[in-house]
Amino acid sequence: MAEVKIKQGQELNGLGVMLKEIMDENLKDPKKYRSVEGLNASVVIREATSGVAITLHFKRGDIEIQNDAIDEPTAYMEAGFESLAYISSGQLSPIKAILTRKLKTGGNLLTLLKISNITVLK
Amino acid sequence: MAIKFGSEEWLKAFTQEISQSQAYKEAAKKWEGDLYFVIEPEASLKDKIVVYVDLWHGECRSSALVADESEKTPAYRIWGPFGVWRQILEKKLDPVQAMMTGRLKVKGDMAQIMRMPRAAVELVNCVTKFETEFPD
Repeated sequence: MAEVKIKQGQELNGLGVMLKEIMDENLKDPKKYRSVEGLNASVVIREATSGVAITLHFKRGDIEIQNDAIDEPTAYMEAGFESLAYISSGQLSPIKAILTRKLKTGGNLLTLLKISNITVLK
Repeated sequence: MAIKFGSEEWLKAFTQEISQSQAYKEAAKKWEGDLYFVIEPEASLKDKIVVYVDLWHGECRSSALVADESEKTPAYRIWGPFGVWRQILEKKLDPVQAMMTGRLKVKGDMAQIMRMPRAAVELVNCVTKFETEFPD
């Protein structure tokens, strides 16, 4: 079973702990894993109020999570805690969140769409 | 009048605030799960304080100060050092920020927390509604 790996030597921040649990739950579904298996990308997710961020690395089927934002990720998304929570729990559509400016995004939006298969509980 | 932090009286005031808070009731109307708030000793706090609350659909069904964490097996555990809790109770630190940065740690079903993000915030708000006397 696929699982998000934590970057060696790191203790994840709270945002990372929450997102990892949701992603690990989703990755139990092989279909969802296959939807991101071929990705070669990095994605930054930031909680807007605290500025706390994590970066997800997708490479050759491996998924790794690390604290903080890297420079020049493939894509990024940023929202307040409540919006991130509502999006991750599947109560707020990411598209609707973008249109209502609750979610800021940048970079390759197709990548964000693909990773929503594992970052959003459906 | 300020109430001594971690005392039975303090716990009673906390649970009373929970039962009176419409904001919490609304935010936690689907919440199911008991939890431990664990305040780890630091600076003037010499002994660990463990607060147990059994929360169910916006109500606090029971509460207790627990001497030994193994007494109960709650669905959630929120823990951190005394200094962080004190800052939150004094409204100098946002509880969400404390959780995001990992200064407060959370263990339990994250999906439920993500489904009801206001519940945790409103619960903490309840404990800031009365004056607390901290150990010197």
